[in-house]
Amino acid sequence: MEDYILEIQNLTKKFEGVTAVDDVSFSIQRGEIHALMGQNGAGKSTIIKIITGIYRADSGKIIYDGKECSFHTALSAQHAGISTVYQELNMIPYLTVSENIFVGRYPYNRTGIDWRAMNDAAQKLVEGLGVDIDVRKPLSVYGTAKKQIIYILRAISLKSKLIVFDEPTSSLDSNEVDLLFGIIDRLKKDDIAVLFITHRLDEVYRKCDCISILKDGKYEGKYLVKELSQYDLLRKMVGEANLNLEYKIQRERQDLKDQECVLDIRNITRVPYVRNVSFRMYKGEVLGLAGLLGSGRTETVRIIFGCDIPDSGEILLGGQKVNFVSPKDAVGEGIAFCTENRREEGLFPNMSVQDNIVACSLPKVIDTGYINAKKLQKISSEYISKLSIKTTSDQQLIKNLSGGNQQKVILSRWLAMEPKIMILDEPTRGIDVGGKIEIENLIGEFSNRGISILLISSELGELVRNCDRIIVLRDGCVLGELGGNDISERNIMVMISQNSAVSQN
Amino acid sequence: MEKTITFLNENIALLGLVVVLILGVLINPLFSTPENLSNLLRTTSITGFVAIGMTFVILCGSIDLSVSSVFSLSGFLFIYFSQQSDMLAILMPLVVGVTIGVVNGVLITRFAIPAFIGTLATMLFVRGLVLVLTNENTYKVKILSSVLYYFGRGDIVQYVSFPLVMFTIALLIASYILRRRTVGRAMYIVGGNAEAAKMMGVNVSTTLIIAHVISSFMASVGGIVLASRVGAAYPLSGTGYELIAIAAVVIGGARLSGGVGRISGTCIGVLIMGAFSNIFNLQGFLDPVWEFVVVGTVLLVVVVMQAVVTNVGLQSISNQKAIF
Amino acid sequence: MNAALISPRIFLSKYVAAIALCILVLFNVFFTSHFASWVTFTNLFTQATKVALVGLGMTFIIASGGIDISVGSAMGLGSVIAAIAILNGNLLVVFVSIVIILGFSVLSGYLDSKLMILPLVSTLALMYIMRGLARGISGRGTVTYNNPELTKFFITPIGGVIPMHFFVLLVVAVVMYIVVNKMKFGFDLEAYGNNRIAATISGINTSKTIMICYIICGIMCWIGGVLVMGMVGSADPARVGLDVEVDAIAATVVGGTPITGGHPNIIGTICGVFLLQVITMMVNMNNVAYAYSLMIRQASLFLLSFPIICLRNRGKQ
Repeated sequence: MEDYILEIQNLTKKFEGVTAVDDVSFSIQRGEIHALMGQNGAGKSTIIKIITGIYRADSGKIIYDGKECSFHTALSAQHAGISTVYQELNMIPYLTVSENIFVGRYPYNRTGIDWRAMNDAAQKLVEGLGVDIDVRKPLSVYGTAKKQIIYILRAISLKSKLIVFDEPTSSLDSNEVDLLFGIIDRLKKDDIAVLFITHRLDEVYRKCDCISILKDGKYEGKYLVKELSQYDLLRKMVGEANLNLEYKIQRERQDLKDQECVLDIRNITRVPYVRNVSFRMYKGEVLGLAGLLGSGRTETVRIIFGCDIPDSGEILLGGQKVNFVSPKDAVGEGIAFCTENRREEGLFPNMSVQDNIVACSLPKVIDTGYINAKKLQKISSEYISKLSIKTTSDQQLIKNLSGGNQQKVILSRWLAMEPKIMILDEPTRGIDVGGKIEIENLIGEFSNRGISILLISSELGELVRNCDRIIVLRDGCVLGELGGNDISERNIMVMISQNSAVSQN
Repeated sequence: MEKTITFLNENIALLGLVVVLILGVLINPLFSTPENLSNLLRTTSITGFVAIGMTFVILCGSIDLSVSSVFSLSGFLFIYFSQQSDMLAILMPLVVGVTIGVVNGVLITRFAIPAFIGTLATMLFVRGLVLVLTNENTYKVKILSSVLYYFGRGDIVQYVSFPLVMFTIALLIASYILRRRTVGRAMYIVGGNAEAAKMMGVNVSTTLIIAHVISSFMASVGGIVLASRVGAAYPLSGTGYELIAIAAVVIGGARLSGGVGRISGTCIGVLIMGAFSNIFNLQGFLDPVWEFVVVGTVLLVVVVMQAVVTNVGLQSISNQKAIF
Repeated sequence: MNAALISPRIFLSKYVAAIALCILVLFNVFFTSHFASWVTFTNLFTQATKVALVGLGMTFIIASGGIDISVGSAMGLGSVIAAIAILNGNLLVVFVSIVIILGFSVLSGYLDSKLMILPLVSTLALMYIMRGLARGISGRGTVTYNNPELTKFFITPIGGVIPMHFFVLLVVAVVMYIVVNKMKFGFDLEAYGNNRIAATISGINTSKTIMICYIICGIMCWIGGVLVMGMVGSADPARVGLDVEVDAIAATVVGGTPITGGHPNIIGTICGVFLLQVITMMVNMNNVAYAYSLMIRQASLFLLSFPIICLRNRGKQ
């Protein structure tokens, strides 16, 4: 008889007609390191939210530690023994490490909260894991990796037997990842199970015992890591249809190095995210930035766009040195940046689809100081049809659109600007296959018109299909460049994996 | 560099107090007489009560603009009920204060109305109420019982007034709660990261309501002490006290966004504000009307300095992203 | 910008002020004696105009997600400086008053946009500073000047019919409406109120936008203060603009501008102002004692704005 810490049986959850989780059943053993994988929208985060008490399932059973449970709040799940380590760490920066661990469970002596006992208990926990943390310091002095470990300490002190990690390594460098994985090994030794949500294949193969795959809300299967190849994994996650994209679209790759150099980045450094990055971009080319999560791609383009200021290095635009201190400088020079984070950085939620589309194109529709409503309408209609944006009208509030359509609107905003350089960070995230094809066609169309495109994507296939050249990054450093026939998913992965432990500056 | 900034941050209030005290002695030698200092401390204690309450609210990341009206209403109720019984004269204002605090808390939590609008509304409503009750005139009674007089006028020993003793006790209790009790720590937690607080099991709504109740309660205490000292209730008493309280708390090192602050800091801030007021009264150069100009300017300067230091401080921690 | 047609909840929160105004006016025409008279209406407009001007300025600031509680003091300070200038016989020096008010506006804007200080606290401090300055420089009290031609200028109706202050309000309102709905600034402001980060990334000059909001507000306060002064020939530093910020905020919120930032609803604010004024007059004309009327008025201001805020909040969830 297997010893399961968590058994999920026939879990179903619907949201306004959409079935997010469809009759899912799986189980996790004690001390198992279990990866939960699937495309965006496959239902991973919904299942996690049900397990950890944020959502209630419509039907199905959860059996934790042998007992049937139903968690009404996040807190009750924690008390039962399930803790979740999120990307946005939920702790208080101003309070000390030990207090963060013991919030809600302060030890008392006769006169009140016993700080000494609390600090001692926290220090013991820290030593138990063998990490170098001073529990008396405020949480804010520690970086993301240590903060995650501190949260794990809290989970351990709560006697958690199952710890869920939601994309834990996305902002960690390789040393920090090693640290975290060391901790996970110790958790396993103490019989604590780990449920890992991640996109990073190499981590799954390095650390996990088994993988559960979700596809479109349904449970596809549970596999032992050593019995499943990466190709099979991808195939099960993504399905046959998508892989056929490889064969449907084949944009002709071009060598455009003889063209005008539109962007020249030299020795850009911003510790610790970007280290000595240099590359060039030529007119009309599609340049890809490849790398694992946390390799510094987004941080690099944020510097190009003026969101962040580098410690050193220079940027030349069309041969002239530029010094952007804010995005409006970059926009003024004809650079567009479609960020990966549309909710925080993209949407104007209570404004219409039309307004969201034209937000960067206003100078084009202004006659003698006034906005020309007809021109506005024309631009928004053009892109609504070009990208097949599903909306009841162009006056519909953007917050009422589905995620994928919202993404298309934000993309339209930058396309409508008709920039000289376009930076696209995960442009097809959350978009269905049909939409992906439309966007990839647009990328091709724009590059033919002489617009240079900098493409960031975690889908290697997307980079392979669309780019003329690919720069490969790891841990903030440029590993090398691939062009022409050298471009393939395998070569990208080889370049990344062969360059481990890049020197720390 | 970071060490200098932290040192400055933590001790700037104290330095400010020293500067103000020196200024006082220079401007008017009467400043340092025991009579004046005793008076100064008696008056400062009154605004101090309000500031202590405001500390809790600001720690939670909220704000309470209604304290001035609660202060004045309590003064009225104290005088009114003094005719009936000593017990009621103390109890009624406190009960009403707590009730208003609950109302504020509920508006902010249950109805999700931003704190400044909710407490602004309460402030105006209560102010109107006081105007109605006092008929827009000073409300006087013939005589108060000696017990009630003691609250505002009494001296424990020579030069040590009863309000000062009460204020000191309030400081100690508040400090204890914030440091050694879960309910006090909850203020820091909610103010530091309300989302995380929820996930860690801290009841954000309850904490906010408690903070607002404490704020209104302390404002009531202040109102009682002033009415006792003066022997009458002015309809416009307490005007501007919210400014003084906020200034005191901010000068004392608390962050307006919440999560950072100490009672000891508020105490220094209160002393600075009190000394200021006293110096103003003692000097003959400027009309007393200018006092608020100076107070406003001081608050502005302190808040600006806080903002500048925070921004500098943020950039010197290398794993923070730059702000646009 | 025309999204009100999409959802009944949004429609309600945008037009509730206008609807309530119509209902209340009709009610009073039937039930309050002497309501439907020319005197009543001119009274109504006179009181409401100064609040409306300040309210329009406040609308911009609230639309940007901020707040400015120093508007009343700005009115007071502006009117006092202008009165002193006229008293000393130099009309041109009146422009010193607008320069000083604008100086404070620019300061407020700078504190909000560049230093990112909570506007509530910085304007709280400025409120006391400006009111104190007004009282300080006016010496003993009300500043009265004797300039019959000037007073006549303010009192004489334009074309014999439209009162001067109402004309000013009309012009200002039309200009503001155009600025908000037809100019890039209005768009930038609404975008900023919706999502500050997205607005910055889209290349909008956010500091300039915020600064313009505060400057507009400052100008409105100055115009309001000068109008008040012009019509009576004096400026009382303690009373001019007292509590006007409350009315301005309530009118803006009731009028449908989101308190957390968003689309500035110009027409809504004006309806809100008149709505509140009608309520006040309703109470006064039915012979309720002043103090009670004050309380009732304050209560109704917020009773009207709270549901609006709640409606919007529920829409979010």
